[in-house]
Amino acid sequence: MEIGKKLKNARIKAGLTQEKAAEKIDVSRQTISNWENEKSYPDIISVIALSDLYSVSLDELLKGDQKMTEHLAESTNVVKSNKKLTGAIILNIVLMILLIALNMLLPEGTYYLVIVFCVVIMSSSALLYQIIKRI
Amino acid sequence: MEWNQIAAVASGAIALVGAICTAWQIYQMTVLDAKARGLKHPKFWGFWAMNGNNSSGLILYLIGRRNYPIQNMSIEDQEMIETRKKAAGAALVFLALGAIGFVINVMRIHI
Repeated sequence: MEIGKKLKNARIKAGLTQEKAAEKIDVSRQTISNWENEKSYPDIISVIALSDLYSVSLDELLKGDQKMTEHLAESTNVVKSNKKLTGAIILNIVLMILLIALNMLLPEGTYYLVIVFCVVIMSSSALLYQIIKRI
Repeated sequence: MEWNQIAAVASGAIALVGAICTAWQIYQMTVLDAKARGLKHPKFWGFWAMNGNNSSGLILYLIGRRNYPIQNMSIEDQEMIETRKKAAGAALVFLALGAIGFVINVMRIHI
C-alpha cells in the first residue's frame, strides 16, 4: 500500500482529523492533505513524528512503497546523487565538444549545427533542472 | 514582415520570458534556502545564484552552502520551494522551446 493511504488509515484509526494531526506535529492542514494525497512526501523527521502520533511503527509506514523509498534515497544519499550530477555535467560538455568537432568533417554543416544546438539546449535544460532540484 | 521573422520574434520572446521566470524562481528558492541556513544577506545569495549564464552561480552557491546546514525551515517553506521547483521546470521548457524555435526561424530567414 502507498504511504498516502497508510497515513490516512492510521490517522482515522487514531481518531484524529487532519486539523488536529496538523496542530500536533506543527504543520498546516494542507500539508497533511498533500501527504495523504501523495502530492508531496513527508521528510524522515515528519515520518517519525507521524509514527509517534498515530502509534504506527516506522516499518509499517515506510516499507512497501517504492516511491517513498526513492524519495528518501534521493533526499538522503547526497554523495551518490552528487556523483551522478557531476557525471552528467561532464558527459554534457564532452558530447557538446564532440558534436561541434564532428561539424568540421561535414561539407555543408548549417543544418547539422542547428540540430546540435537543439540537442545541446535540451540536454543543458535537463541538467539545469537537475541542479535546481538540489536547492 | 515575413512569417519567419514574426515566428523568430515570437520564439525569442518566449525564450526571454522563460529565462526571466527561471531566474526569478531560482532567486526566490535561494533566498528561502539561505534564510533557513542562517546565512547573512539571503537576497545577495539569491542574486548570486540566479546569475551566471551557465548556472555557475547556482552551482557555487550549492557548494558553498554545505558548511551551513538547515537550522529552521517550516514545512510551508519546504512546500513553497517544491512548488517553485516545478514552476522553474515549466519555465525551462519555455526557455528551451523558445530558443530552439528562434534558431530554426533565424536559419530559415537566412537560407
